[in-house]
Amino acid sequence: MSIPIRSLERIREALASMPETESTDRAFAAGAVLLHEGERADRIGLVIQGEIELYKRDAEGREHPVGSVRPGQFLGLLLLSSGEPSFLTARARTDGRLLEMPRPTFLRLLYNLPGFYQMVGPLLLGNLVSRYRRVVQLHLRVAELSRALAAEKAQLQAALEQLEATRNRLIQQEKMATLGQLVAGLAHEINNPVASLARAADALGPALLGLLARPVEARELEVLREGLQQGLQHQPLQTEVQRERMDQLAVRFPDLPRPVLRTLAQVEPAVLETFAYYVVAHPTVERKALARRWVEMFEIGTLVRSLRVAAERIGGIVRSLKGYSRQDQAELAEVDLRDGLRDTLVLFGYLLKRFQVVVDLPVPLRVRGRPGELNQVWTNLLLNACEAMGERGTLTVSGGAESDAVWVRVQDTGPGVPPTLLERIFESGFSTKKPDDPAQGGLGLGLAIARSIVEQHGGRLTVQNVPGSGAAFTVRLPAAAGTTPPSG
Amino acid sequence: MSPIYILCVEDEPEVLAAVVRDLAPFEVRFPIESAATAAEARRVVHEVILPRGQLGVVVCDHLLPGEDGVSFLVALQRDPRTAPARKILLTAQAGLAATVQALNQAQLKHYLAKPWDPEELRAVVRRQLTDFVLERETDLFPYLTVLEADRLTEKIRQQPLPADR
Repeated sequence: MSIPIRSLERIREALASMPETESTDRAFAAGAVLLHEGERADRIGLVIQGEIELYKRDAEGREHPVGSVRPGQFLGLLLLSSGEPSFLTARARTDGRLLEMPRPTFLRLLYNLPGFYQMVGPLLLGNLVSRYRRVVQLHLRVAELSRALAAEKAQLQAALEQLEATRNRLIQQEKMATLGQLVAGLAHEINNPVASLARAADALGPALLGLLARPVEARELEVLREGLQQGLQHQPLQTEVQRERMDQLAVRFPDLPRPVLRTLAQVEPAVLETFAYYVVAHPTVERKALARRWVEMFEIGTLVRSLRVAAERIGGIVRSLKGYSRQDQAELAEVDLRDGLRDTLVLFGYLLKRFQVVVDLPVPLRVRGRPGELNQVWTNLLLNACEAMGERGTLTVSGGAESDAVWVRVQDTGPGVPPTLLERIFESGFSTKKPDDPAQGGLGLGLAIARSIVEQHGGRLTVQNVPGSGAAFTVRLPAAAGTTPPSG
Repeated sequence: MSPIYILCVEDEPEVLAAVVRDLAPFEVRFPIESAATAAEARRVVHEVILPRGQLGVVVCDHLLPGEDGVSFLVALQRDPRTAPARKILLTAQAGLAATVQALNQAQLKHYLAKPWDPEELRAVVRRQLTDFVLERETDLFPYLTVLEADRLTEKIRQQPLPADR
């Protein structure tokens, strides 16, 4: 609400001409501070020319513009009746002039001087109305801003939740990729003993049937039992040794077919000598037939032994799997890290086959932890080492205990980590793998997950380059209470 | 007549024994040699098989300690003395990539998954040995009882009679 300059000028002239108003004409320059927030002001001013900006300080001392005073409006209006310290700071935005009167004079004249109110009243009212309007507008603006802020907050919350969900999904995907590798490994590890189990079982029936197709005499039973016993005890020979023995036997028994020579090569040389002497000394038909049966019994023994070995293998894998998959065990338990390490090495044995694996875990590594999660750490470190080494190399898993901590180190003979990337490799999504090779499965979260699990256990996962010998990842975890360090 | 060898490469002794046992019927004509690693297999090829005869069929495990089976088969394919040998990959687990590599670079003739069916294994080896013999041998009579007799007799029938020579 602005007052026409002409009438304002008339009011100014009228007020200035009345000595009882004690008014003074004051010029101000742009930038001048006309009122200080918190200071007492004993004058009220009517702006004649120029513009003044009002500022209010917030709790932290920052100034905010809260309005302006234009010609026809009063400066110090809020203090008019109360006389309190100034609520605002007033700073001239432009050069200008104002007509100032002492506050008590102004009040006195307002009530007592006829004609003063008629002159000043409309200005005061207009001024108050315009300020009130501004307050109402501000209320509306505040309400609007609050609504916008609430919407923004909700959006932010949603984005945060989405981010969290995405992160969990990625971790889940990484776990599934690891699980996929675990399943592939299990298939491989179990398929081998299953193959030998199935093939031995298949061979066993016909072998027994063939053996029993001919009558057995009582005096032969002892010899046959001996053959079976030898077969049951027999340890498979290295292929090289077997080849050598087969060659020797082929020279000695040129008439025997190779499958029989192969079986004979498996027989302990001393036992074979005794038996060969028995047959060769008196090569009767009966003795030859008995020798054949002895060999058949020996073969049956080796088949039964194969069954047992395969069953033990499968049993061992299942035990490792049970130990490994304690993922749901959220409770802290005191564990020897070597158990989880061994289980993990067994289950991922198919991946490690092309490498030399050195395991040096001489002392118990007791910590309080969640075994399933720690197995995830070993898995990720092993997979990482395998990927780093490619086709060939040596994987060394070592560990030790100190007074209040235990450590496990997984060291590869890959190319090592470029010094500039030593810390970055623990970042989520950082991967040196080719992104277009889905066979590699992972998302580059493996080391990030490993580090976060170790840190949740109060430990540290670090990496160093071993000069000339790849990278070494070291996990340090607080030792379980009551663990005594190894002596010596 | 120089012997045609079957070479079995497998690192698990019990599994190797089972493969050799399943292939024993061929041994009346085709001596079987075995090895536990690619390095040993290579030695057997050069020190035992090639000095005495030729390599007819290789049955090789995929995952071996150290050098893997595919890489060994690829190497055999590159050596002219062993290139004609028929290559069979026996695997408990293999990524598609490894199989493709074996097919393309090692002229892989067959791919068998563990646990295998012994009849299938024998049929595959019989077919590959028959192919090998048909390609490389002129006197086919000794193989009639062990290999695919109908294919061998077909070839024999097409051969000129001794009188025609």
